[in-house]
Amino acid sequence: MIAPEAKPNTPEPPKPDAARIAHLEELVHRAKMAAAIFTQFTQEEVDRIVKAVTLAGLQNAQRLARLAIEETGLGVMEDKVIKNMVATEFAYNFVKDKRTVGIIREYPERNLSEIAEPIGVLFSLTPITNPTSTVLFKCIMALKTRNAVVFAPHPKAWNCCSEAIKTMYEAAVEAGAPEHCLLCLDSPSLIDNAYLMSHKDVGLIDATGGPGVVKAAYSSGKPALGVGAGNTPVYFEKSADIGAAVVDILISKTFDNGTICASEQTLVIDDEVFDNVLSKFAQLGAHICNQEETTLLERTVIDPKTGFMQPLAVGQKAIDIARFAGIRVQPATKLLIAEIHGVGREYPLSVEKLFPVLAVYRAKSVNEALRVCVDVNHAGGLGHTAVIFSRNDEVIQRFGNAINAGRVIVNSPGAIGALGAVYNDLVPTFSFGCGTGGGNSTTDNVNIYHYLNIKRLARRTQNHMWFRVPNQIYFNMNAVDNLRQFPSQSTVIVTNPILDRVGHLNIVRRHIYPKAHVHVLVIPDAEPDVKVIAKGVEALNFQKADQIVALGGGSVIDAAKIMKLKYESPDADLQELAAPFLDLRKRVVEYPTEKLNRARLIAIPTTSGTGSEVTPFAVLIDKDRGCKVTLADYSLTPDVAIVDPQFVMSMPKALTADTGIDCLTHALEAAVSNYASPYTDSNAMQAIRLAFKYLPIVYEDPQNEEARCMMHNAACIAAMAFSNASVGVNHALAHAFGARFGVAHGRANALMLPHVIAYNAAVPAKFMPSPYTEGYVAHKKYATIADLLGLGGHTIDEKVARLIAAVEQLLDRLEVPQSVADLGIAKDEYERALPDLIRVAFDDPSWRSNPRMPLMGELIDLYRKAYEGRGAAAKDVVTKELQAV
Amino acid sequence: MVSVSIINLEERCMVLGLDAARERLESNGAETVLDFSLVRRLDSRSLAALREFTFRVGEKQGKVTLRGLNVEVYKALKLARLTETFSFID
Repeated sequence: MIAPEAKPNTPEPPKPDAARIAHLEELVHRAKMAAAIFTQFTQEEVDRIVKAVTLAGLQNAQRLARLAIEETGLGVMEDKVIKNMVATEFAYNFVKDKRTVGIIREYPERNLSEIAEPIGVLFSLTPITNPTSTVLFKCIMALKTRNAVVFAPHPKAWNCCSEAIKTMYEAAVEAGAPEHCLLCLDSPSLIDNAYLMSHKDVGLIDATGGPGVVKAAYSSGKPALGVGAGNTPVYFEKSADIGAAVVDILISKTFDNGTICASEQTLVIDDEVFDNVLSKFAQLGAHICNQEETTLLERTVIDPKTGFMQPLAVGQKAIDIARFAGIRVQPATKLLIAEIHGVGREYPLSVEKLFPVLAVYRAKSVNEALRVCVDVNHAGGLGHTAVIFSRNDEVIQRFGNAINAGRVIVNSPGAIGALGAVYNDLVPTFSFGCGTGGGNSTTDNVNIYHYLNIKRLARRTQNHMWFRVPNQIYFNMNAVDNLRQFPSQSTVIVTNPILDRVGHLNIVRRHIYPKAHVHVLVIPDAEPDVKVIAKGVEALNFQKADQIVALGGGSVIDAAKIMKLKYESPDADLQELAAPFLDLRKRVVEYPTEKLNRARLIAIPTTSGTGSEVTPFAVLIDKDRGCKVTLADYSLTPDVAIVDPQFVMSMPKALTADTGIDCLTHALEAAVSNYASPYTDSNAMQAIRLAFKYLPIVYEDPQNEEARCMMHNAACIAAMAFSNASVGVNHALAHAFGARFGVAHGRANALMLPHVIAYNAAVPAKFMPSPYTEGYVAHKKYATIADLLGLGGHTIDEKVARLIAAVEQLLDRLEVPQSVADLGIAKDEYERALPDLIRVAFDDPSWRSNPRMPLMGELIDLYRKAYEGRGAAAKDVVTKELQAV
Repeated sequence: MVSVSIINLEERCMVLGLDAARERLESNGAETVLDFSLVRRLDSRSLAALREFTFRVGEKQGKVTLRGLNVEVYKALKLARLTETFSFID
């Protein structure tokens, strides 16, 4: 970049006259037609064209280099030849196997394909410093990506660039490229440039040049690729290989007389090696300026008014610059080195110098060196390039972290290193993206992928699902016998006082592994609180338990799950683990996997409803904070479940009904859940069948052993379904309502259930996004359930209506109240509670898997229907429209 | 009764085909159908000829339908802003 070119306050140039506009319009039109034709080309055709133009560029490398030297007077002939060859051969080597037509990349594991779309017409501005090489490079990039280009070369490099474009164009057309795919303005004009930069048919401005050009490109309102100014800091750390590093810097800083903007500008050298390094430079042809010479040099090469380099010095030889400055040097001098003592306007040589003059700074420590490098980086070189010579990986890493540069070149020449593909694996380029630090949109080495619109074809992914249940489940009468097969030295039984009194505890005790020491922990028959958990963990630690047997209903088993969690992972933060989540696999918190202790958890349920013996859920009450903490993770799932109906034979009728309805609700909600799968469906359907058949029997004949056994199994099977498919809006409503009015969970579910079935079977006001389901199927699932139960009906809505009627009949047989009103809750009290109920229900994670996304107004309707009572639900079945879904 | 001229275009002699279409358009102003079924792609000359043809259609206020275009050719016409003049059928 040549800083003096910058004219940030230049007023907007006038528009071209009518004749000129017609000319420019025709130029863009031709490019546009060429781009349109180009879209039909295949990869093979494109590759043939790219190979042809590359060969043309290589064959003309020397001729074009000579033209560039003659016209610009900058740089070194031999180096310009090399640049032209790098711009063609290395660029070709990078692009030759890359796909730029059709599908360019595929990610089968992500069901994702990337497809190339050409941009169309590019308007490309090229610099004076690397004129023909930049043109050659951009022609290859544009043709490889099926774009047409209108070039505007730097005014002082117009002829050589025009010739380079002509050379490439003729080779391209000869190889089959569309006519007018590469065009050049016939004369330099800022007015023309401004017109084209805002032309509606120009898709992208690609500006390589001074800050003025880049700023104009970015200000045009068009998508633009512009490169920023450089000011490359170099840290010469004391562990570096001095001989190799000095040669690398000489190669780079003298290459084409320092015109590559990534070349070294200020060398920060550790004090310990400073003298050696300068001595080596002197030995290899550098002139080390004294103080007086440094002052002369500053006055000659830096404009005191702007603080930027003088154009007259750009791309000139060291001996010529010395002569301009009045410094006597040896004829073979390659580089002028001047010491500076700081960075900024008062140290003129600390800026970018695109000629063979290098500033050096003596640093007393690594910290000082890094600080000075950061200063240089911020003095006009943000986002561009930085270089470090060191054999200390830690220092290299610190440098990389500290410096804001798109390219941090390690132990190699900055200029050629930044160009890529020679000293490293950077993408070859002649256009350095400098990120936001340099006012650019990218830090990349600009390449073919910046000349493409990359489209992503995102196929629907089939998310992995799961079915996770305890390792072992023992069921049917006397299944508790299996307990004795689990070896243990110390077993803690967690239970509640009632089960001790009715003798269940003794039964379990008798079946525990004979050699185990058994300790009994009796906890209150209520949802556990944190104090209960703490006491339990204390007991587990004291007993050094290797086995926990939870004997009880959902509360006891939940308590045992949490005790085990805290026993095995004492640092687990229950509040944090209870953080809300939408998708179990993407949740923010992670349950502990490192365990201090290990204990087997065996769950023996004494009710037939919650299914806690197989679920990954646990609820506790935090009385101090006044809230419920719901934990959900498969690591909470008990290791063994023993589903033995002898422990439920004496369940009271009301509890039998409430827990039985809970079981049925689990199964019905899991069946229509968005997370339902064939695995959960089989469990849900079986549980529904068992509940419909055996729940009325066991309610009316509590001692019916077969019915008890089947309902006990049904609860466990339903729990396996909802452990993996989750529940739905019924549970969200019931949780909020039950907590507010002190209604048992199963009963609260029962009051909502018919209304929720009707609600889910209707056309949703809002569909729930779900990658797991295709189409809306809740109504069909309900119809399938009706068929399973033999309820009859011909259409889906008939079957749904019959299912609702069957649920209502079942609730009637179980003597469940008809409505919320029947519970004795006054209507005005209920209405006053509705806003709170809605808020709590909506926060409840249960509905996240509901097939229909509940709107808050809909939740109010459901609560009101529950207040009115059964009978209203069947009337609401409006599935007709859904038949076609 | 409206007469419809159907001109089958071929990739190798698109320009000739369009010349014929222009003549018919100028002689009787009848509705013209250009059949692109055999045209896999357009080259620069074809596109220029088609552009020229669109000007004639505009002048004559003729009705021209393009039939059987593949989407690649259609997209090239779209990018060249030549789709407004025509109607399209498969």
